[in-house]
Amino acid sequence: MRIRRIDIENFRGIKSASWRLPLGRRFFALIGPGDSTKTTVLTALERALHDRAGQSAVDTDFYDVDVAHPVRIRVAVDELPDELIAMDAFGGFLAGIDDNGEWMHDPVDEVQRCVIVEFLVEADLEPVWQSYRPPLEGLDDEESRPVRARHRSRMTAYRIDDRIDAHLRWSRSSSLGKLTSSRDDTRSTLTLAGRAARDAAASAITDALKTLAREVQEQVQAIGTTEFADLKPGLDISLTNSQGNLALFEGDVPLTNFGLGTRRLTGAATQQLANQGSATLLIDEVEHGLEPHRLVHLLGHLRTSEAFSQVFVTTHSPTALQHLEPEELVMVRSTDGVTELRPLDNPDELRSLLKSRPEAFLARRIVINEGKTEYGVVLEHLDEWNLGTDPEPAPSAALGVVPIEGNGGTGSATWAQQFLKVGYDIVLFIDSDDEAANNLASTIEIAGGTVVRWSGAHSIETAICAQLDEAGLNAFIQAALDVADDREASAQSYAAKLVTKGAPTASEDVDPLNVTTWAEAGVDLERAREIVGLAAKGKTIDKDKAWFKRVDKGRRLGRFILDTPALQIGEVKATFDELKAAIYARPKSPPAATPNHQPEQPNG
Amino acid sequence: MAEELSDELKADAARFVDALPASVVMPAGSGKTHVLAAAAKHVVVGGGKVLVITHTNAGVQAVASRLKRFGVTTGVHVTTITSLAFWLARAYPVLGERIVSRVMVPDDSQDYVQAATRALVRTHVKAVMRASYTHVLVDEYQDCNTQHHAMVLNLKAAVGSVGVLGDPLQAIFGFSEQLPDWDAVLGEFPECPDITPEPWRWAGHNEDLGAWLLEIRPHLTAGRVLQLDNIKYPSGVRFTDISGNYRGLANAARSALSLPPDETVLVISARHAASGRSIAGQLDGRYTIMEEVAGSFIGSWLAKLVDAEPEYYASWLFDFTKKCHAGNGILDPASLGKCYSRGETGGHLLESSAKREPVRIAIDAMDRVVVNPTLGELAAAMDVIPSSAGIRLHSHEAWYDAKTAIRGAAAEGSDKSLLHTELAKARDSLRHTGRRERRRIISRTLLVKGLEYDHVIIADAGNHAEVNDLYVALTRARKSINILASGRSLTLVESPRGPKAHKKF
Repeated sequence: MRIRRIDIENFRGIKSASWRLPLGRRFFALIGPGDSTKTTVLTALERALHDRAGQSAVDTDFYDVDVAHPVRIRVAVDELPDELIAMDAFGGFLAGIDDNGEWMHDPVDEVQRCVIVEFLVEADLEPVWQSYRPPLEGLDDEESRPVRARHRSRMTAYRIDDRIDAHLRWSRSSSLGKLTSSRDDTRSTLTLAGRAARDAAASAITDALKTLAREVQEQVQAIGTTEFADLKPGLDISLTNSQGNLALFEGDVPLTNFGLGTRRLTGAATQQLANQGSATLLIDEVEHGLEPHRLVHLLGHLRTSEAFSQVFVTTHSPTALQHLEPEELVMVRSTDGVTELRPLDNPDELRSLLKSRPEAFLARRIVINEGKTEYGVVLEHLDEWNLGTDPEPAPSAALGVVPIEGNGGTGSATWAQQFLKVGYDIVLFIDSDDEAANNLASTIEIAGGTVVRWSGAHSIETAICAQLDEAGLNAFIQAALDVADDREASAQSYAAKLVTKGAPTASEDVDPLNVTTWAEAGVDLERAREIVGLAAKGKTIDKDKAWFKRVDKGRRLGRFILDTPALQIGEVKATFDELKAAIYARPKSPPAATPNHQPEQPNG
Repeated sequence: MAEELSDELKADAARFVDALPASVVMPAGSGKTHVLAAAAKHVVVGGGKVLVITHTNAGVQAVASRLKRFGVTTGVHVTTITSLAFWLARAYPVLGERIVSRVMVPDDSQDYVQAATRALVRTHVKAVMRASYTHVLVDEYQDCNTQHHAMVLNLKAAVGSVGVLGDPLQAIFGFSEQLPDWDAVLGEFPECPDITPEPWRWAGHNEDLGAWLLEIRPHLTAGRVLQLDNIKYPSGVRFTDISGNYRGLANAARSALSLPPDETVLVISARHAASGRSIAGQLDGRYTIMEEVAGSFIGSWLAKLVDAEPEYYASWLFDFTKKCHAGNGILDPASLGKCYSRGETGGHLLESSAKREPVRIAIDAMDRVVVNPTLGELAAAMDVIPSSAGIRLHSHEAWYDAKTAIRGAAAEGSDKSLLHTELAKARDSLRHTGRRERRRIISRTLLVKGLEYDHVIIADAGNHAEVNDLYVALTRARKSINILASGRSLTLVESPRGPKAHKKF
């Protein structure tokens, strides 16, 4: 079974959403800033495919707590087993769905057959599970048919969350209970075991249950690197309710006393055993309670195991992202109640970034800096702006801002385009001396991004030097030498570089590293600024030789900018003011009118 | 407690199931339903799921009760071919290329069948059928017309293991249908050999009759001339020549009233409905008329009511009362009928002569309709009219269903255009609940095929020269048959299989 599409109306924070799942993927990592309604999407799936009746909704399940507009969740599921397409199950109301997730009344030959389960809650708060088929012209008396719990139970989406403890006990609705009933007659097995346990001691547990506990133990080890030595059923006397008193024990300790991560892993293992190959697993904050190595192992298992038909996780963990592929990411964004779920257009371009800077994907706003120099400069500025003498009211982190090191002018611009399409705010901080990058910049601005550039054909180094006098230029050179790994050697190579760019060669009166001496040799201030700027910037083809091209060096340059009075005016000041304004702008949603809302057709 | 199946029956069932697609041809009353139920049980025991298709709701009930007797409670779905076609057509209007409304309309059944036939070749509908059933068994296949046959062939293409059961000698059909060539049916469903007919229907009733019917079956062929007075009839079967004796049938029917009251008696009339009603008129309401499922007699009378102005409601009621009651001469058209046809009351005639006293109840009721000409008043009048001492209701079904339809339309704001919809509802509930049980019945072969009675009176064998018609008439009886005819010889003719040959009617 495979979920193909989810449409949501008026459910919690979602006024409307329509997610057509890309074909060929079975693992989905939903990411997005806080309040982007990722978790609500999981909850919607869980509710729509829930097999328990009698759970009423509450007023706060309605968007804006307005019960006048019913909650409506429609989930299209295809690849149904024969049991579910039979005439006494969904055989009388199958719909069709094409490769793009477009659904239609009849399953014509060219498309997949599916059932569309509609979960409907009106003001009476009584949930109804019924069939839905898109309207058909001329057919005006289509009736919804109930989608019964026994059929939903074959499609259940299991949620692993903090309430996982219930699944570590034997009860009718828990996965342990289901697992047992698939092997034996549950009622008698459970009653026998329960009665025996009550009457006597742990030795009364039936062999069938003991075997089962051992299987769970093996499964947990397979997915979670948790070592159990003696997993077995036992009588949990801490509960006297109907949840089931028979629980899993490790030795003498009930599993419900273990850490959250272990409990979640064990819960996932029981789900997997209970629903071989057919279950949909929903994990909110997959990293919750797990050390990085167990998280990585679990992700690996979830992504490759055939045991689940589909797995949906949400995550805020850079570690998790680092171990995922960009194709697996679904960006969730909410604008005025409208939730959009989008995959990356061209995941290949961002693959290396996902490995190196996963936290960018978790941001609301990404500041893409041309290179290491700019990145360092911006980091230093952010420290000042967030924590300095005159801090911004809301630090950049609170606004969901993550600065990253870019990939040159055109590379960074390409990234910016990708991110813009899936709903990120983008601030692009690049040089203006690359024509290709300049061309891309306007496209990005049209798509809603902010591009901060130097005027003319400047780079950061040349722009700074253009505002310094001789003493200032000397301080600039000293700043570069301050952060050089080998000051002596760097002094020599920087001097040589300056000479190549036109500085006077060393003589008794002239020192290439001391700009105040250059006038003697006929190099005026204007020329000197150019020479120092170009020398610091390095050759276009060999930028690694640039003086500040390392994050810590960039930070030093940033500090220099902040501390140099001559840079508190003019273009440098204007540019950083512009950057600051863009970074601290109140989160605005991506322009609602963006024409390319819909991802391109995958086969288009 | 489930009935134990005989080894022979089990073997027959297994052989049939293994041979699918295949057919079983069995004479009337000789265990076809037994073989069908046993075959279904064989499949279910083996873990399969069976769809049983019949033509009528009576057939559904017969198969369902036989399955219950055999202890089969799950794994078998029994339905009529029209219900199945409606279900498929309603579920998949795009694939069936027809929009079908929520309520099944009997008149549209051929449209449903055609839509279902189209849907059944589509990939996903095929998958639904395959997922639902491993085997399909179609009963009374001789009643399948060419469109039913096409639908079953598409089911066969989807499910594969399809078996058909029937008896071409019992094929009788309505007006516009064409039956498939039986050899073509056998080409798709080769006959499963060696299934021995057992005259089950007559066991414990009249075994001699059962054996005789099996024996004469091969001899009922077109062109043969039967000398009805020169046949060696088994016990319980007799022939009476009623030439010139216009009370011959009435006498035979009246003498049958002395049979035990819990035994059923069927008078088989000629093909046209009026023939049965005129016989019923002579029998004092002791026999009731069976209406066809669609209820066209009732429909035509309701159509007259639709056309009538309210001042003539009583006149309509007067005519309909005469049509449905025996002893109706007391409702004299000359005086009483004229009152109503003028839109006036007739009560004063009760004062002028005592002869109408036995129908005072009816006259009072009709007068109330004159005074208050509403559908509600009509229905109320119809409640009491049959209790008049002077007349006897013989068309119970027609009377009560017309009354139900009128009352239904009255409840919907006296909208006369709803009369036929309400009638369809009443007839549809008949489809689901079965006919009201009556033990003395007048009907026609077309309506009683598949049904059985203890005693049968054939009103005039001369009306049953068609081979299939005669065979069906003879095989309805379990205990006795009284064959009446005006004349002593009968030349058998071929039964038509389509409307072309049917032109003579």
